Amino acid sequence: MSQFFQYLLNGLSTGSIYALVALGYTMVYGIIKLINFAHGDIIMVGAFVALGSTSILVKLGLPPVLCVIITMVATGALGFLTEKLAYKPLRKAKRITALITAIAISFLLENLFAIRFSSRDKTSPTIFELGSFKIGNIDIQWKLVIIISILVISTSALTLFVNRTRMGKAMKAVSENPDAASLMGINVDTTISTTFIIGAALAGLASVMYVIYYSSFNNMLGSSLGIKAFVAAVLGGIGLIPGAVLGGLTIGVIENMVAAYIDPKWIDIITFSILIFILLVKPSGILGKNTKEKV
Amino acid sequence: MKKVLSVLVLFLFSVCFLTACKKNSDDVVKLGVVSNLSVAAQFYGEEVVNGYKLAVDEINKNGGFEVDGKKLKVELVIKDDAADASTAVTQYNTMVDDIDAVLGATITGTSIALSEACNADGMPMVTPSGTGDRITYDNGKLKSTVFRTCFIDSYQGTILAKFAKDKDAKRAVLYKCSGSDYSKGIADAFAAGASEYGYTVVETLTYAKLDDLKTSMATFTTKTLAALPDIVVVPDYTDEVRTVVAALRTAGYEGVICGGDGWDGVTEGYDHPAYFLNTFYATAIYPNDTTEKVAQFYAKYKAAFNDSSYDFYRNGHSEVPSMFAALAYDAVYLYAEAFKKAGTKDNAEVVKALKAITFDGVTGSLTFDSKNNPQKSAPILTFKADGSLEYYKAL
Repeated sequence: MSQFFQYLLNGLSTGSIYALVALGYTMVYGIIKLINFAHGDIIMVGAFVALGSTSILVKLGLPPVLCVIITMVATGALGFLTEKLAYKPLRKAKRITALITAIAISFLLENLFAIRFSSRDKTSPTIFELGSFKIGNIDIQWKLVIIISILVISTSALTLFVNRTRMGKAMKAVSENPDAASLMGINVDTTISTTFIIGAALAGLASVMYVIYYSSFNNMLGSSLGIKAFVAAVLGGIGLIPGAVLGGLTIGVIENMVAAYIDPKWIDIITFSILIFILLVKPSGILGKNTKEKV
Repeated sequence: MKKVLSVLVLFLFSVCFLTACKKNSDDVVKLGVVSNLSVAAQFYGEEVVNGYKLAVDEINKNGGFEVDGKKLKVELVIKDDAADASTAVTQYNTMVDDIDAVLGATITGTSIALSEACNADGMPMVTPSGTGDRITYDNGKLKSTVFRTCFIDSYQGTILAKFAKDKDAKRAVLYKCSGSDYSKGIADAFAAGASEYGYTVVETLTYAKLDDLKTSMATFTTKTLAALPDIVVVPDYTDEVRTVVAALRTAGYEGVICGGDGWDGVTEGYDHPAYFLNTFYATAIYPNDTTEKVAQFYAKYKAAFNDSSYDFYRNGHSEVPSMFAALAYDAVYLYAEAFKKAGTKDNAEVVKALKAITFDGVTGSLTFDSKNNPQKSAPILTFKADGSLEYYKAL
């Protein structure tokens, strides 16, 4: 039984990483209906930034935990730049054009990093020196506690931001109807940029969680993580903050349970079968509302 | 047109005539080398040829191969197969009537094609580096004239099983990448060896690829610790090995972890080399081995490499060669021994001598099993806290 809880805890930790990544997909999709396939690769860039900044911080004698801020600023800036350079000019184009551009950026980043840093695995930086503690006979690693706490805190902050601040409300308005929002005096461009920055900064936070949890990463980190997080966002109901969290945690737990009780070879098969099943039953995702689109 | 035709006919005649003169004179032994010296895996192809050249040069300085009491000079006839199976056979056919035995090919694909041709002709063949099972034994049939000096991948599993016994292990946890023939072969051979030596594989953890392993590593760690192993076997390449070792060490497992030659270079550029304390891997040869034979080989290679009068491949190579040069060097000496035992250059007799040989080379002493694969000892290496290699023992 103690092993079951261990697996559950592991599942919640991987799930937390998926959830935070899924939040980025969901926010961007919610506001401009774009599936930002480059989102996963922003996390990859974040992991490299975390690696580089940690070693610099250590050399300067500063606490390595400051790399969280550096990484979030760097990925936020990258998110801002990709939006300005690649997506904004396409705002009026067909949706497929922006989607293809997102895929292009994804490949661009993956291969640029492969050239610069080679495609071999890099060792994750040590951000915390952490051990574990015991509750009963369950061995709980501190890093799992930290990862899950990061998710709880960041999701709460994001929810408050969206519901309580002017900018947050502007985001909701733009996602409802950008034209009406601009008539009400909302600066749509600024709002979209802010969404991208927040989504990408969350990706930076996810990079830090990733390097805390996994011992290594490479330039392809974003491709599988990105797809799983995207699936999580769709599973929970894309465009919804609680949906992304629920979807992420669900997939994390399922994966770990499959690895523990069935066979790791079945992870992808079972995860994606569940996705297909849920979408057949409820196309808008677990928490999604069934809205009919008016023609 | 007529003229062209007659020239062509004349040319064909002369080709037939020249090939018909066949067999070289009696006072030299000609070894036909087939290796990939262009296109894919060129590095290994060249390294292997350097190994042959070093051995042949050394043997000729001492008079040559001893055959029936006479010393015969050795000549290499070197052909490039461009890493292509059919080219390997074509190149072999251009020299088949002129040579006494074949060295090569370098990679598995070309070696399989070449082995078919050599076996059909009764021509002895020794590959220094083709590790695929099918080179010597295919479809339940032995290619009786074909041998190799490298061990097949799965043989490392047998060595690791011996190693576990040597470490007095009782409970083993086995990692296995089902998507890689290399990993599967070693893991299965280890499991077979474990039951032979009387200890148990308490848990086998299977994954299909590196991504799966990363996703499942937390679960695998829990399962590994719960199995209370005294040895963990990870037969895979460096990225997978690092993933497993880092996870197990941070979770507090301090016992033995081991694997095969896929571990080569695992601590290079790695930030936590101390995780690799108490880990071991089996390989074909270790450059800093202090045993006289090995040390001498590396010294001789280095001297030849830096001596421009030697016709060596140097571009992109280093004075410390990979294991392939050593295995190639052994292949030539293996023939020296076989020709001496056979007492003649006759193909059938040489094959018979190879089959029964006990040979002591720089990569260990070997005999051939029923599938013409070498049974040989392998050095086991371990790591110091700074990640540098240390010789443990040969098994």
